[in-house]
Amino acid sequence: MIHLNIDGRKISVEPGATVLDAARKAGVNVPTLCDHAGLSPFGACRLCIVEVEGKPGVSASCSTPAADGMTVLTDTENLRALRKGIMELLISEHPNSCLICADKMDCWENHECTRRAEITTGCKFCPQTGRCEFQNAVHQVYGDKGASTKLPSRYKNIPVERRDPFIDQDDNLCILCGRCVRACADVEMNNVLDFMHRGSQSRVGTPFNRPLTESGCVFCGACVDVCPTGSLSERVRRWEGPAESSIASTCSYCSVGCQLELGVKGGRVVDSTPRRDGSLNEGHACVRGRFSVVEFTRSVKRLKHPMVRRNGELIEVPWETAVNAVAEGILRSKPEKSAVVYSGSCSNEDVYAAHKFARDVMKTKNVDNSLRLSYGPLTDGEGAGAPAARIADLADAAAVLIVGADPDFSHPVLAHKIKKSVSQGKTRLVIMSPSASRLSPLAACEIRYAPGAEKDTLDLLRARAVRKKVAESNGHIDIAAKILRRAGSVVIVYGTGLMRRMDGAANRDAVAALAKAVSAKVMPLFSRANDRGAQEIAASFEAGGLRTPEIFQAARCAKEPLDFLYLVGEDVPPGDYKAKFTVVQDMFLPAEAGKFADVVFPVAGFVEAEGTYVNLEGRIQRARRAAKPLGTSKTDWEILAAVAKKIGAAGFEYAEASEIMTELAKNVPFFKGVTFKALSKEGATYGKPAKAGKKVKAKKRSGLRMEHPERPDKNYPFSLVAEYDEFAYKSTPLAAQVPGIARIQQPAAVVLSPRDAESMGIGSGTPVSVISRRGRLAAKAVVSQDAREGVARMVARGGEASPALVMNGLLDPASKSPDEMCAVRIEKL
Amino acid sequence: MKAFKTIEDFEETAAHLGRQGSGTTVPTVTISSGTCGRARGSDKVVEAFRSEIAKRKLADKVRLRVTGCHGFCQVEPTVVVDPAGILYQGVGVGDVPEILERTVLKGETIERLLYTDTKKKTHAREADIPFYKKQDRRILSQNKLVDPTRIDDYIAIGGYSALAKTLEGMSPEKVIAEVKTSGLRGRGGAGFPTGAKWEFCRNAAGEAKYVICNADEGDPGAYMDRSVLEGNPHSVLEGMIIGAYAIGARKGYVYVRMEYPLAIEHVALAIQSAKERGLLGPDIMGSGFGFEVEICRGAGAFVCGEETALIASIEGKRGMPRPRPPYPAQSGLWGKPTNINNVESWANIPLIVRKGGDEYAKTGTKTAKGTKIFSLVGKINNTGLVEVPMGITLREIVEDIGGGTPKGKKFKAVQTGGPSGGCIPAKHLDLPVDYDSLAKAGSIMGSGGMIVMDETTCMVDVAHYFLSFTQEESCGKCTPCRVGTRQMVDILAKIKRGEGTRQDITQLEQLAKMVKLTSLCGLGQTAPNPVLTTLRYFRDEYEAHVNEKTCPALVCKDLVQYEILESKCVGCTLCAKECASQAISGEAKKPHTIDQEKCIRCGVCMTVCPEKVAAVVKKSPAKVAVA
Repeated sequence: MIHLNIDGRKISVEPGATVLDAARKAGVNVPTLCDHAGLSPFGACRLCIVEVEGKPGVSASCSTPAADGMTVLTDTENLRALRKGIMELLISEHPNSCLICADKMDCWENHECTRRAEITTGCKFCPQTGRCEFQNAVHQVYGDKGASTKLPSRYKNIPVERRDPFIDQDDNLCILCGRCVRACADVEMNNVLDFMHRGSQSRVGTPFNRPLTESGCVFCGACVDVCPTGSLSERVRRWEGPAESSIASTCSYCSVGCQLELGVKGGRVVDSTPRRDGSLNEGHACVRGRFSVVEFTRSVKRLKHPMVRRNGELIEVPWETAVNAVAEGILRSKPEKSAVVYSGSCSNEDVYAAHKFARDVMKTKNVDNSLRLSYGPLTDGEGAGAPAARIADLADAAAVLIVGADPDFSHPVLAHKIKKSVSQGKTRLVIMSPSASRLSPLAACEIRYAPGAEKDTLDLLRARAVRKKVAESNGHIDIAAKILRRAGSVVIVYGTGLMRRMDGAANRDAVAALAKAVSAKVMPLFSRANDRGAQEIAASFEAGGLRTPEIFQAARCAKEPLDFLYLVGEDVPPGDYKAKFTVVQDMFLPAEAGKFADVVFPVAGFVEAEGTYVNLEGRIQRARRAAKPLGTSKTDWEILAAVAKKIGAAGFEYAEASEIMTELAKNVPFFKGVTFKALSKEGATYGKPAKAGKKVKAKKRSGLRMEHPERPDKNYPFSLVAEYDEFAYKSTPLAAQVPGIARIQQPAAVVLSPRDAESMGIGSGTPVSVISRRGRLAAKAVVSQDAREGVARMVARGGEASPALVMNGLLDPASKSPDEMCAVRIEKL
Repeated sequence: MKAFKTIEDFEETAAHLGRQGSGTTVPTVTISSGTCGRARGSDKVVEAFRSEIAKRKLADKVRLRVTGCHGFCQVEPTVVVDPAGILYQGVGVGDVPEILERTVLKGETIERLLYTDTKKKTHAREADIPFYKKQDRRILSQNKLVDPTRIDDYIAIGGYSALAKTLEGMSPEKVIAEVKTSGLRGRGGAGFPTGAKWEFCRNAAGEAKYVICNADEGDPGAYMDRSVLEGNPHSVLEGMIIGAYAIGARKGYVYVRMEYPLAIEHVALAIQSAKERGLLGPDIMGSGFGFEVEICRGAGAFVCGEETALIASIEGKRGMPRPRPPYPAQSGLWGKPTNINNVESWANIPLIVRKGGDEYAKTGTKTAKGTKIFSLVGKINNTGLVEVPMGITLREIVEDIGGGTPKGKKFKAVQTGGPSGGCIPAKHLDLPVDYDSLAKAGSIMGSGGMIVMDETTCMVDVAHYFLSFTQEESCGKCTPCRVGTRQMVDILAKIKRGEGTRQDITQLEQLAKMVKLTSLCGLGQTAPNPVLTTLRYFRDEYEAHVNEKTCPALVCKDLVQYEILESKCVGCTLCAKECASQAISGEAKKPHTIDQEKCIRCGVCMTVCPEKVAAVVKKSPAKVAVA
């Protein structure tokens, strides 16, 4: 321990602490601006200067290491004068009515026009009003008397940059503290922002001043979160002022389960920021958790009241009427001709209620979920066949193998853990993928394969990894095999690129076999927030009914269509549906099912409901109700319970979600002992998987594999890979409700390699027709250096469903999950 | 070229080359051809000598040596004919045949090409010229003896013998002790004891270590590092190899600014030939010690001369200083212990090792040892690079070596240390030149820029000039430097416009002190020095600008007026023709007048007015009004 004296107070700190750390520990408040928890000391603002006995001049306490026996003064006459001098300089460049005006708290004249003001000229016009750290620092330095300045104002008068989604940049408010630059480079490792120009012209910007969308920005929002002024601001949050309260919750946009802090004001959620302390995301978020929560929840297109179709039109009706209509619909239908499909975005309570509803109210086994469409081979009680990895394992693994996934896009916070540990030299990264990705530059070795050759490649890799005598070879597979063999601790991360194949189950086994060979743990990158929970709950109910693609098919069947289809937060693929009665419940009207649904219930968003979610590693976490549900919307389980009650079925007398969990914990072994109360206390707990999954026998390397019927040929020269839309909540693509997401994600775009595009005379933005043996689709071309020749990629939009599903109809025989590949040709429109 | 496999191998060759060099009586023509010489046409003179020698088939009878700069910029291109040691100045292509014919072959001197000093005395021999006489040229003198593109030239004059001595029997600790004994302090500006710096780095934990040569010479008017790198790159390399051996580094970088293409070329060539000779590489002269050097080109940011910014720049990041500690000696390039020395510091190392630290320490003052190179520029008769022993007085440099101010103008001040330094007035001319005395006077030694100013220099203008420079070159990281210098420049501009108030002077002084005290790096901490020293020694000039709205030196445009003296003007119409703003009118053969409303004070009229007429005068407007 180091002992020092700060302003007469004796304090001991750990070696490595700075004088500023020590002062804080001693309860001495030193003004700072560029300092920020989690960022390395920068020493730029110079406000934290102190006098150290025996050292000439002054020292910046943030970057001066504490030394034994040091005597430090933080508040002398000299220091106060110097700090004011520095503050005056900052004030001279910043709009300063917010900083020095004595009447700022009473000034109302200009308040009304804030929303129309083009540029920031004072406190009332600033996006950071009420939350400005600069204001606080001025107050701290000048005290109650208020600031004054003799220096002439040097307002920079730089136009506000509003070209990018989500983030505005007003350089006139920037004090060049460099927090954003450090957060972007050191913490997020994205290196998008840096300082530009020199001297008084310095400002923060992107390489060559290109928009963020073209600079590799992933819109994690870390820069906005650390900005002490309103320079970098979240556009939709701009005029909200400080939140009144905040509530901790779990992000329900993907299966990582980031912990969010939801800011609440006037009963509405005004912002969502990643939680730092003790959360698995450690202060990181992605564009979904950071920027899509508020816009999505507040979208004007949300359903507010129940609707019933009359004369072909959906009209708003009282709850009673809608519930009655559904109850009658169920009673009219044959159980074997009824089905429920629910979304993996639903909470455990909703999922449990849906299964129970199907069993006890609809008396049918035909209940399945969206997991079937993304990770089908992992359903039906089948585990991954190998020990499951936890997220924390990624940091400790000596090697990480990513197969058929792009976690940097689909699960950025998880990918960040890999990036961090790779760049610290702790982990070697091997990527197996048809095309390059943003993680490629970090990879020690990359294996590229043609879509469809996943199993072959995995088997080959395993064969090389277990071979006793190793011939020296520089082939990618051999290098990868060597890395995996020698690593000792390996995590295999895999995604829909393996699962959405007609041989998905075989791919799963191939991964399990490889995992066994190199003693690896596996981590399937589930898509929806509660896929993992749905997997466990579904497995505890009796199986044997129709699976999701079969339900959709039955609903389309002209001869003997379904009597009753209940879609809980899920949409159907495009097609001609004949189901006699369809019920939909969701936040938004689903694009396809909305066309023919007979009853539509409005559902509360995840910030409006209590519930639990299981993330991809099996961690059970709570989402909390931060705002009132919109209109008369209710949670999924509340609606199901209301219908059940109407029909007179027992067992749905829940008063709140926690009661469902209590019941769930009794019936599903995975949740044994879990209660809301316990979760609140501990934050989160890990579920208890019933079994590690069936044992997989490592087969001898097989040269044989299923011939894919969708091999490209002369007429259809491209393999179209329709990727599962990872940016969706229930049936709604985020891009449909959050315009910024649409700009990042480029909806309905087909990604081609430069050479392919050139040979067809296609450029980025060219409208094209994608034609398969069964149909065609209009799309826009995007040319990407990362794309592989002969492969066209497309995001299978949630609402529009998977084009491949529409086009090839191929299912994995074992798991009935759809294949996402088909042969296409591309024509310029 | 054969690589030296052993130290004996090297010594044998070195002795051979040395004998070849000294034993010869063949006349040698040496042409000073650094960047500055080339700018004055030295490369054409070199060409002329080459073709003339070929034409006359004199290749066996005369040796031509093209070297780096000899330092006497004022009279470039210079040619020295040995063994007589005759120096010809301002040599043109046309003079070449005559020099060959008369001086080289017949031993005559050509009077008209000889140097004439300020006292109208002509000197034939280089050694007699006052500019050289008071200098102690230990480093610069090698420039004349070495063709920088030929490693053997350097070996012939004892080059790399210090390295051989080091590798033969000196432990790293012994090398450091020797450097410590020598009392060498960093020549880059701050004057940190080099030996101690090396020791920190040697003692720092870690396997990988780096040495860096800082050749990002950015001070306006300073070019001593360029001259050494261009003229004798091997001396720097030798210093670096010895340093690397002492510190335990295996890799070195020469960080040189892109604006020095010739220096880059010569260093690259030097590295190449040192590799070929086995003086760089995995096993230097069979000693088992390995060292590689790489060149890193700076992109033109002044701040990259600051150690931590320089390191960031090599790492490919924005050149921006970071707080210290950790010092580069603990955590520098790529986070490894790193030792950075300036070009001149490195070039001193071979001298120290060769002769021993004690011998080296005999020159200089108590706290500053050895010699220091200055670039003597500005209002001075003999512009050039001067190498003087520490402790010499400013007066000796300015008056004896520099030959005083031209045209009989009165000396006003000398600015040392570039934009980070200060202006030292005439009353302190007897100040001994060393780190501490200069600091006491409010300036710094700096890297060695020395700008002489006479009575026609306005000190407010000087402060404004230097501060504008640092303001633009500030990296923009810390508040005091980024915003403080900008506010100070604004105040100075205001004073220069005649709009300043007394309050402004107080404000300026306060800002200057604050910026000096609170800035993050050396750039900001020293940026106010020109302001603070001019305020200290020339406050009256500031006050004249503020109180009387006059510029005593008649420099600040807004405070001067041009006027045509009726009594002198002959009506030649030259000024009227040249005036850009058509402010001058008058009939031919009759006195002209200047319309002050139209005049933009460019001064062209004064320049074009024939010297014997001198009818245009510059005045303070107030005084004109009184007259």
